[in-house]
Amino acid sequence: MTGNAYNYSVFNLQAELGKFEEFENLPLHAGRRAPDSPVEDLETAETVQLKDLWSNGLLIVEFGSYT
Amino acid sequence: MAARYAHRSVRSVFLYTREAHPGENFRHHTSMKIKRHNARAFKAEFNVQRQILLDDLEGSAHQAYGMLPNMSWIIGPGGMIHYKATWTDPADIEDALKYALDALDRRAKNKLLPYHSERLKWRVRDDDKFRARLLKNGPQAVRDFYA
Repeated sequence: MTGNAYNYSVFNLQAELGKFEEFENLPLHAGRRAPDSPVEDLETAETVQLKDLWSNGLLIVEFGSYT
Repeated sequence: MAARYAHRSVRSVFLYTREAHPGENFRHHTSMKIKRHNARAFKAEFNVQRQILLDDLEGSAHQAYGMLPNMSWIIGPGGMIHYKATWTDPADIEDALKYALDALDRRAKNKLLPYHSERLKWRVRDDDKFRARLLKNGPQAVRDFYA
């Protein structure tokens, strides 16, 4: 999914409800390995690897946005 | 919550994704500059103390984890998934966190083996609060949701 398709400008309820159904088929179950990904620290602008955050303990990750 | 468990090597982060309900006041992201701006507004309004991490503009991390708007995960050493929820409920997260910490502590000594458990959780639906929240994003966000 490209940046334009991902960052929709108009919310579509049916499309987003479909994401919840797709989530049930996601092969990321408890006990499996979580995917690593580079992300940007808002304060430092440095790139952070998620795997570095869970390397020494438990990591709680909440996904979300202002809206 | 993470501060209460920091002595047990627990961290908590907020991973900033796309705007779930864009409106006139908080538009969809067409650049990382806009994404950073919205994330800073979010941090200021809700006095977020956790580390905020920005996904890239394509939502690579968000897509890898299933793209739900407000999901939560607990991931342990080595990347093992301990918990995932389609919604964020602090009480449920803390319950799962306590369980995971206890299991990790006892795992070796008590020869623990993992198994899967699934349960349905319930959250309060507050339409008035949600509509007011959407209105802060802009009238478009209200129209789009209730279209």
